[in-house]
Amino acid sequence: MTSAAVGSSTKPVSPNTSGLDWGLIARQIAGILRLELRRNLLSRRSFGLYFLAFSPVGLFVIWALSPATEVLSGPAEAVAQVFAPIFGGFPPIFLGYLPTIIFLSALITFMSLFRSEILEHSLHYYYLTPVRRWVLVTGKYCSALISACCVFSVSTTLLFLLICIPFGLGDASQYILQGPGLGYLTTYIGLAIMACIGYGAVFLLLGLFFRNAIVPAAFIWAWESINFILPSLLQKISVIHYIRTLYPIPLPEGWLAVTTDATSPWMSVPGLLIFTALVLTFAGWRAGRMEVNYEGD
Amino acid sequence: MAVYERTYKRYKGALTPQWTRFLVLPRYAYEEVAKSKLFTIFFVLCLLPPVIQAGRIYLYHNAAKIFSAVPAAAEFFSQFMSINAEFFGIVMAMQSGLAFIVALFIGPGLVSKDLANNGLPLYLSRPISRTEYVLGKFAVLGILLSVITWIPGLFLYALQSIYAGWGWAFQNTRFAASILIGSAAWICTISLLALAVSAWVRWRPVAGFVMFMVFLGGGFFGLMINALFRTDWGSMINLGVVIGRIWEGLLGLRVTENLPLWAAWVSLALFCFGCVQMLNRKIRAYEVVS
Repeated sequence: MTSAAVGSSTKPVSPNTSGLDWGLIARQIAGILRLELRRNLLSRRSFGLYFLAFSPVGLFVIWALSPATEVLSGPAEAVAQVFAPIFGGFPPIFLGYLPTIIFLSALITFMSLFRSEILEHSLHYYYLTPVRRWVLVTGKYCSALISACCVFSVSTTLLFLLICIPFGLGDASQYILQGPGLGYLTTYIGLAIMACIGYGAVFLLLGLFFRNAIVPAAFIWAWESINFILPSLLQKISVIHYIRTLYPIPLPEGWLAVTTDATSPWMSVPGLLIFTALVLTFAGWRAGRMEVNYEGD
Repeated sequence: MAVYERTYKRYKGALTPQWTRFLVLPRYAYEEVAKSKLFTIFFVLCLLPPVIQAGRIYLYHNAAKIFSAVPAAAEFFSQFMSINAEFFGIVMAMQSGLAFIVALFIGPGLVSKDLANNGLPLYLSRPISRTEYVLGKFAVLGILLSVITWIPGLFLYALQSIYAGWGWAFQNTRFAASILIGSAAWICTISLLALAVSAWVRWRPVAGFVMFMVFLGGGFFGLMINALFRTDWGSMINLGVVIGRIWEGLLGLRVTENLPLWAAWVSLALFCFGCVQMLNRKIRAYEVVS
């Protein structure tokens, strides 16, 4: 066979360096999503997420059945006095559903995206496939985000409904459908999703940098907890600052709080999304330079 | 001597005293811990707050001399920065928080490695019992946490006693006793928690997460129970509140939590008992799978 014949039969494939094949990337992300969603929602790994998200629901059921509800006049008072502080957090360090439970769930879900693969010695299977590393990061992040958003949307809705239902279906439906209830519920679900987006990106990055990311996570929690006493500029370098300004029912901040200009919703949401995009870009860069080394894990 | 004559002979050298054998475990564990530069830096930083507080004691007693040119500063240091129960309460609260982070750092890997690699029979086939094994692992954390909790606390008490006179020391022996008892209670609690979690969760990052979750999640659920049922008993599962209440009781500080002091002690005792039971279930030479 001559060289000319070889040249005609095997056409050299030139790498497409000028542009990206977005169709291929979308198919690859869809493939990663299929694999990862099953892992995040149906495997043993997902137990922690379900436990954290739904264990408060159990307590709310007991509360709904107990006479403790009698001291409240109706759903509006119950949401303002019970649901809002439980969701947003109790001063002074704001331990609440969002700053504690969603924080911890994001930690376990997003940090384990790469760490669990390293511990199970299975990351190289992904790395051997012809998928760009940033595509892999995006796919894994989206899968964990969809899982967390689904679970927390359902749990937040359940918590909200359980707060309203003890006052009778009539009062509850009137408050939710004709009063401000539906608006509050939608906002709280949106806040839960925003928390998943923000914390998720941070913990994905931590999982790529640290073998044991718990100690850095503890520092992040401490930073988020003392956010309200930080100077105005430092307050803005956190996820909770953008979320707290969007609470439909404002929470007391305590006497230590430093009063700052509230960030408007039109700044908070895009600000958090830009922050997430930057963190994910950094994570993609980090994943691109990561070598698979299972030693010491 | 011909090679074939070298048969088994019993060791005739000096034996290690039985009661010190558990200290072999911390010795090797510290070698491992010292390899982490990040941890070493953090551990040194943990000693920074007591050093700063020592400076504060020095300033309190020498403000008149140092700020002789600025009487306002001298007055500020001598009047508003008094060394009292609040001072020791703040120091110990800060050191207790740092102690928890140290436990979070090294605790999760203490037992899990031995269990994951079936190393426990190798320990227990030597003249060391299960109790001594747990004691040895406990000592790893206990000694390290002592260095950043009660030892600097007593150092500050001694420093204050030197400056204020031994009369002050005798009048305030309660502070020294509180530092010792409170630190011991906190060290026991977080060390046992770390060991129990490490024994049950074999993946180190997950073990660290569970430890973190017990602290944060317990705090949240405690507050949630209090808010939902309008009670204060939910604080019994909030480790932060429990130890805070114990410090308040020991030092005689203003009570900020409505949890009775006895309930805080009972909660801590039950928590430690639960951790010991968990360890008892897992620390066995062979795991029988039914």
